[in-house]
Amino acid sequence: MSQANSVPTSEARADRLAKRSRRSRRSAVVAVAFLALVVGVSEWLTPAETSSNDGGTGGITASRSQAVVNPEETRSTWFCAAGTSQPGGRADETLTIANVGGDRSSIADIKVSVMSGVGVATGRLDFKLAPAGSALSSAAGLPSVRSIPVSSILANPDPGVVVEAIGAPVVVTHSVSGAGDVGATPCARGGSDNWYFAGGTTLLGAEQWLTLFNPFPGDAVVDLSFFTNTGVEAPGEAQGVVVAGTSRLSIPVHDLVPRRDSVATRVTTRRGRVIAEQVQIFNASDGVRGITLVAGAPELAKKWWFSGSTAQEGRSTNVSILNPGATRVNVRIDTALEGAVTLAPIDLEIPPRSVSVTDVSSRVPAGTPFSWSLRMRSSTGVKGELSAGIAASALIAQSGIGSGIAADAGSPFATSSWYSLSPDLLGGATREIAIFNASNKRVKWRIRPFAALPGSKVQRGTIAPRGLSRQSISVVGVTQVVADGLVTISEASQGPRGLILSGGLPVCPSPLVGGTSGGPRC
Amino acid sequence: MDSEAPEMPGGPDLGPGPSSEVEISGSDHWFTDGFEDLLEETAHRPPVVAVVVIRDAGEWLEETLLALDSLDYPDVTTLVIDDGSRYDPTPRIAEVAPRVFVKRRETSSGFATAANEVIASVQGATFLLFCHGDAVLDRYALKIMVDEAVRSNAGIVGPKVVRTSDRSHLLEVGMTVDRLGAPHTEIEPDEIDQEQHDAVRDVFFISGVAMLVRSDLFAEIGGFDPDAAPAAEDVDFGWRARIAGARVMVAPDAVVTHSISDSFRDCLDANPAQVEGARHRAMLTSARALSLLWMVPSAIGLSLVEASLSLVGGHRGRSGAILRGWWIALTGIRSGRPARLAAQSHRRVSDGEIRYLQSHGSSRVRRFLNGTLHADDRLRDITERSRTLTDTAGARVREPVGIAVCIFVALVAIGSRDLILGSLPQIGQMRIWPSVGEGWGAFTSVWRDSLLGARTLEPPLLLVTSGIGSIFFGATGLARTLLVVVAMPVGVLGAWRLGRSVAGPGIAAVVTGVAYGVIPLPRNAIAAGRMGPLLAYAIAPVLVLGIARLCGLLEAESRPRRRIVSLSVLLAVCSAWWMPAIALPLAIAAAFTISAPFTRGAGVALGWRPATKITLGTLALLLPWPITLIGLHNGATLGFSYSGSAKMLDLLRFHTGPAGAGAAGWVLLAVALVVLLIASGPRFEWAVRAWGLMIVGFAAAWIPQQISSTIPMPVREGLLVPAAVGLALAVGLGAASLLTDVGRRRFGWRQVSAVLATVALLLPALAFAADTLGGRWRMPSESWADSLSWMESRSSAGDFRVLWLGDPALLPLDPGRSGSVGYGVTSNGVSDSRVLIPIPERGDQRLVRQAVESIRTGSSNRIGAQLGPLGVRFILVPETPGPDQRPFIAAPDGITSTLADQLDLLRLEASPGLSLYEVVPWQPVRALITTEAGAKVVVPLRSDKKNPPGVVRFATPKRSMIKAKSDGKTLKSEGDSNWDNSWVLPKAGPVSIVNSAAWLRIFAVLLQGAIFLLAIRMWRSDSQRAPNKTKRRRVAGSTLPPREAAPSDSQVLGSSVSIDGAVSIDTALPITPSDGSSTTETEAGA
Repeated sequence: MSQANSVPTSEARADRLAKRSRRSRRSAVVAVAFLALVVGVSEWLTPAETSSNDGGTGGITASRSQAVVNPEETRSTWFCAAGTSQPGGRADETLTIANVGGDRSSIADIKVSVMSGVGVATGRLDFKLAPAGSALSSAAGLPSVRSIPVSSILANPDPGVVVEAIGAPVVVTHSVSGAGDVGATPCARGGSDNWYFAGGTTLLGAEQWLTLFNPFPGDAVVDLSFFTNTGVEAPGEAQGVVVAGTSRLSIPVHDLVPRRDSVATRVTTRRGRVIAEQVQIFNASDGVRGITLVAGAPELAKKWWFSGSTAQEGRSTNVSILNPGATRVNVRIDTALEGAVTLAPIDLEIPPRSVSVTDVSSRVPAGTPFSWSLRMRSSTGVKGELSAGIAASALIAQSGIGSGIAADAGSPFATSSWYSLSPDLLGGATREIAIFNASNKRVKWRIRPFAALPGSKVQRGTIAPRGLSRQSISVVGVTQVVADGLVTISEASQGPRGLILSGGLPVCPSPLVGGTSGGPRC
Repeated sequence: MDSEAPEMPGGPDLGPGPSSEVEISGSDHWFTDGFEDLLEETAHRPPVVAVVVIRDAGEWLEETLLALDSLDYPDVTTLVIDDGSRYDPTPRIAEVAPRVFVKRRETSSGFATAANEVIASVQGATFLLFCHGDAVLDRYALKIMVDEAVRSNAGIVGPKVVRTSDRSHLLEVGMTVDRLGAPHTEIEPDEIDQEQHDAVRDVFFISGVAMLVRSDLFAEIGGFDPDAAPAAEDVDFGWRARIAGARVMVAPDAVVTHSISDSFRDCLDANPAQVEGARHRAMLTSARALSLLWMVPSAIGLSLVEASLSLVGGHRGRSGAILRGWWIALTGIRSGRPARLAAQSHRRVSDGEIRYLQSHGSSRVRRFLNGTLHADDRLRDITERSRTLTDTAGARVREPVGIAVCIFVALVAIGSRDLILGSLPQIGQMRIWPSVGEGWGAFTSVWRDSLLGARTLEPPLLLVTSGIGSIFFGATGLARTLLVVVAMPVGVLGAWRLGRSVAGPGIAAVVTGVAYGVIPLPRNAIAAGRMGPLLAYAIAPVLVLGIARLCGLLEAESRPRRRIVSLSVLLAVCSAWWMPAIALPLAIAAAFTISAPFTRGAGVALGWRPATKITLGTLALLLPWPITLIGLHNGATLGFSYSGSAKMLDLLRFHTGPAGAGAAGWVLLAVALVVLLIASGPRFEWAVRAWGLMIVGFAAAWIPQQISSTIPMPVREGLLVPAAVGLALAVGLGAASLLTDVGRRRFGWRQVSAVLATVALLLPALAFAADTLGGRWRMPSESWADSLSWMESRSSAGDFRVLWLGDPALLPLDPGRSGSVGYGVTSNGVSDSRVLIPIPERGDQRLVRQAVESIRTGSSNRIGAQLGPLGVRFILVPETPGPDQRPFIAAPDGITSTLADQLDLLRLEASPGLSLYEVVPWQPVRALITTEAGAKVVVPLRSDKKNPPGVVRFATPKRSMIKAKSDGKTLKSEGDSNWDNSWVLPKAGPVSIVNSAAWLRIFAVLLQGAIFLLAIRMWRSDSQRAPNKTKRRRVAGSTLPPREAAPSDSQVLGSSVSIDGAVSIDTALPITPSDGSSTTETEAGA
């Protein structure tokens, strides 16, 4: 091989090497670029976060104004709107406050303020509560639960109560008594711009009182709308209602929209925030006598759970469903009997801006505990417009022996831990806690009375999916229900002074599955 | 020109000879019209002796003597006094002016001493004409001056002095001094003579170039003061003549040309400090003692300023001369006392009357501008450059490239029209700047109103805004707007330069610039009020270019230090707004490094060295403020206030705000990808580096949020800046490849993709054009700061603070973070940019954070009780960028609900999108806690009124250096105070709260100044080392031979001589014209 031939060969080889080197570099660069693109595309394809409105996989959602308890919090404020505190009042109010801090908690400093308006003296009561069942309780001689008639602090026809607790977590409920009956509900944790009351009636013999409490310094201006069986009504005197700061207002709905079979109420604030509750008084004109107290729903939801009632002779259980939206909604009512038996669902179509009342106990055999839940299936209306949800409320009316009425506003979410606190006003009453398994798996539950004596028995059990368990409890005060799945609870008491149905207080930070769209508070 | 000057009509026949070269300027018309009459009126003219004092005379001496010899004046005698020249000038003089008298002094004693010899030597002369050896008098100049002296009874008369080389350029038409005695001429540099100064008028003094003096006046006031030499003899003489009651006038029709190149040797050889000292001495001699009381301190102050500015400008010698001049003047007061007494003994005019003749303003300032800053040179330079630029622009604007540039600039102007013509809303970091005075005051203050207030250093942002505001003569609003509007074109210009260096000139560079301009990043930054990222966008291409040059990836840098200093200064300005920008060079170096494996290893390590230097340089320029950040836990001060979970697909399109949505955002990325496939050679390597920049930028914006959606990080617009540069560069390289690489290959997919890429580039350009329609880059038309201006009026009830809460992106400051909630504190309303960067949170400053934590967790329904003692009166929660604006961004963590449930917050009416609360139990920041009717009452503290006894409270973290005083007495601290400052006021009286120990701030300011001076010095030193840079000549045109040893003894050339019986000149020897041996003969005769 001559030298002349070798030179081109070596140049060609170098050229090939250079090309190969360039090609490899280019491949690497293109690979890096594509890698970046793949990352982006994969992110694009990642499904968006699931909506909290999905009852199966939802996140932690509960309105701030709802009575949610965080056992870790050492400061809390509760607002109790309804009730009266003067002699001869229509709904004498009693507070029940319990320290739920547990053995390792501290003493709670409680400050109760009874507000009655701007420039008017505020009633004050300060006291301490020891954690239930702790050594502090016996050593300091402090109670862990205390019931206080509001009239003992300040006599007023429209008292608004603020309970501030520092040092330990507490729960606060209040009850009203009148017409030979008692009604109870947990107090609210905060104000809201909107409140919904699905149930109500202004027929002859029924009084429906809406109480609006503004504990804040500024005035609130409120508009009221009533959804009745005859349509939506917004009386002029119910518009632009001023609720002065640190005061409460009682509005007789039965005067504004008289003689309506069903009256649902929507409270909307133009300015400020209020706490709204509703009291209904029946004076036995149709054989039903008693008083109910329900807290408003600060938000609409697409699911509502009602933990129970027991079908009885002379007892009716009617659920009111409010659709305040502009679209027609389809709602399914699922009824579960004790023993994991379910009834055929009831499908309802509720027109826009209307209220529907359904008797859910009519198909249930007498003596059978049952629970029911509502699920908004779809909404139809203007294209692209979906209803924000519905509000619901149940009214249980018992006539005859052991007459009385009770109302339950239901719960828009299920969780694994609940507190129940009933007022100690029903001497000789039977108390039952209904636990409804809202999940699709068998759930173990445990009921633990807070102030139980050492060695007292803890009730345990399991519930089938979508099943119901009803347990009698013998102790008074605070009871905690803990499950390993999503459940809802309610407590029913019946005795000489009437019938009480009280929803539980969900506990944070246990996972909440809800049908609301409020901000997370746990 | 001169030769074309018309002959004077009616003038005497001058005949041939050198005098014919002396031209009469066209400004003599009025004179020539009445010339005959004037001649008759002044037929008997007073004798004049022209005195020319020379030393080592230059080449113009002959011309001067010829002109004197040719004067149209019947009775003038010329006397040349040689003040110790190294060579005898007599032969030269004899050759051209044989009738001139010469008097030699063997040793040099200065102009004044030499000139003063005429007092004893000359008798019979009515006037003395002193002139320089390079001053050429017009033929009628002396006659005009004498006539004016006779007509106005003036003691001193001067001519108009024009430049020898160009008679149309004025040099002097009389001189004046300012109130502090600093001389100056009212002629602008290179001012053209258009007869604008041709009025006969009084002036303060006549310079020594040519000066007609009445000989009796000269003798009476003792001639020139030798101690005023060098360079101030004329000022001193004129001043003394003035206070003696003599008029000093200028007769502009008498014209003298001057070469400005052969000043008297005293001036050339003089130490600048001596010149300064002599000028001060003139003032000390002639002004009254009472006047000196204010003149001397004022002059010293001005001199100090001038010295400082000279030092900053790198004229260290000049600076020293100024200071030494005062030393010379002040130490010579005792020796100058006789001269002062003599001058004052002749005083007939008060200083008040003298002041009317002095000019307003400061001659020193004028001199500094004209001299030290070389304003004339620069003006000329700018003019020439402008002309060149205009010519070039005119040619280029007709090219496609020029058209593209014009279109882009027009679009930017259209897109910014509302911002330019209207107002810039105060959103994000675009808060209004304080006035220049307030800014400098705050910068030099020891107190910062941020969070709860603290004694701490001001961030450099205040220095930058005050500095820029000063440049704009206090128009801070204009400066702020221009900074926003100009940032985008500046970034594009930088990208164009980068593209020109990397991708090549022409289309490729333009495409790089246009691609950089149409990237949505700056529009989103403007829309969200992100000033820091916007500035980072503007400087990033220059940074990339600079680092590439410094590390040798591009043409080697000839002046690396200067480049590093320049880039550091740019980066420091940007970092003053947005501290994360300081890492920009490191990000660029990282990009070069990750691309190194694909670029034959070039720049693996090289980029880090200049990047580190620039970063450290920037850090040094920001000193001492960065020291305050040591041990910082809250990143808000560093700009780490934001979080979120933007999708990578949005980041890739720079869709971080309202701009960037749609498919157009993908086009640039696709083109950049195509470039990797079609480029080759160096363009391929640079395309890889461009992708490295993109990967670094995108990763910086994407990776942190993958770690946690709540992790504090800088704003994304800033993090994406390297990616924007990389993308634009890649697109520019694509254009270059299209023009070169693809064209060389056969038709295939490369060509197709290249054509598609070109067409597709129009999409983002159209998107950019569409964004210009709004006229304000989607900025809100109004901000919360504008609608909340009423708050300032509430301070009458006491100083208060405002707590801002909400999404960090909506707050008009760099917020602190508690979880997802951003917070910040302003004082007495919405404040200005002084609170933009919060102070580092330490100690009790965290009380604000704790209160926010309580709100965020909803753990209290009486948050007012927590905030009230902190002086917080209002709580603002914006959920939109401004009133009635979109988008609506809900406040995080449900804080609006929490605040609405507070029992001690009063909700106030506000525009939609803003929740506004007033803290019911708020206490003024400066409060007095007193007792009324047995109850504690908190009232605002009055500094100017009587406060009742009580406890004075200042709601700011306790510091021993904060003191309260009442009637001059320091109040005793109250021991019970928790975190705040409290003092006991035992009796009623006014109270003031003061911060002591300002030395820290003074030290900090001095340190910062020293660092800047050092940077300037480094910049200049590298500039002076640069090749092809000729050093400016201090004295131009000096052609004198080197000095030799002076003769040891004086040599007298002749004895006393009388001329025409009227004038006699002693000790001067007439020189007769002779042949070439005249010099030898004269010396021999002597």
